[in-house]
Amino acid sequence: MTPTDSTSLKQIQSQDEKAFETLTERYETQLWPHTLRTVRNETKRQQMI
Amino acid sequence: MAPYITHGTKRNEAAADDLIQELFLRVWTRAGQWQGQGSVKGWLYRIATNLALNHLRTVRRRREQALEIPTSDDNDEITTPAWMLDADAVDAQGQVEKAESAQLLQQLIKELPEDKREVIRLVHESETGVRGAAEVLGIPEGTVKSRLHYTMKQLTKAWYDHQNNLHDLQSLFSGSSTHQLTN
Repeated sequence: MTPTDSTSLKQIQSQDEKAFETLTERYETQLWPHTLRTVRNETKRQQMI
Repeated sequence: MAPYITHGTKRNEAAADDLIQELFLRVWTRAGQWQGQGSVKGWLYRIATNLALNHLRTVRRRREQALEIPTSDDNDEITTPAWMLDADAVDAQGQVEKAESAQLLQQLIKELPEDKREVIRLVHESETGVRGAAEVLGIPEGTVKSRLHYTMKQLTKAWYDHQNNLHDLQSLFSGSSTHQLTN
């Protein structure tokens, strides 16, 4: 069964590398575009000021 | 596409790569800060947003400092111009600790296996980003990312081990001095 995010995070608190890998794989592809968008939009906003 | 747009896009992508690495490093080292309130997903997105905004603030501050014109002093006294002063420089102890930390980090990087050391140097020191490192090393981006994750974990562990050893050593010394004092 796939562990929930909070279970993974509790396991990471105990230095569980497998749990860290699971969380990383689950969110990396979602967070990268979000981060890129934030960097891009904020850069544009700063240039307009 | 105009070259400047390509350059800006690549720079933003490289920044996003670095920020994601930083984010997961924080998750590994500061997982205990999650209070169990709200979703983990929301927590991760908040960290990502904050890291991105902090990064841009730092970039903007550096740019402004570089553009600031130093004012000339009328008298002949040799003074450090304000634009050269780092706020942290005022705190000498902080500067020493910073230098020691940087030295320790370099030492830990030197002790890494060649393949991992290369990835760290390319992504973080040469700032090529994950894509650039993959191109230079001729390996897939996924391999660069996984090497980076494992290397960061290894470095973090080595860092904490070092700090704990230091703490143990300090306890030993303080213990022995107490012992000497009581005898």
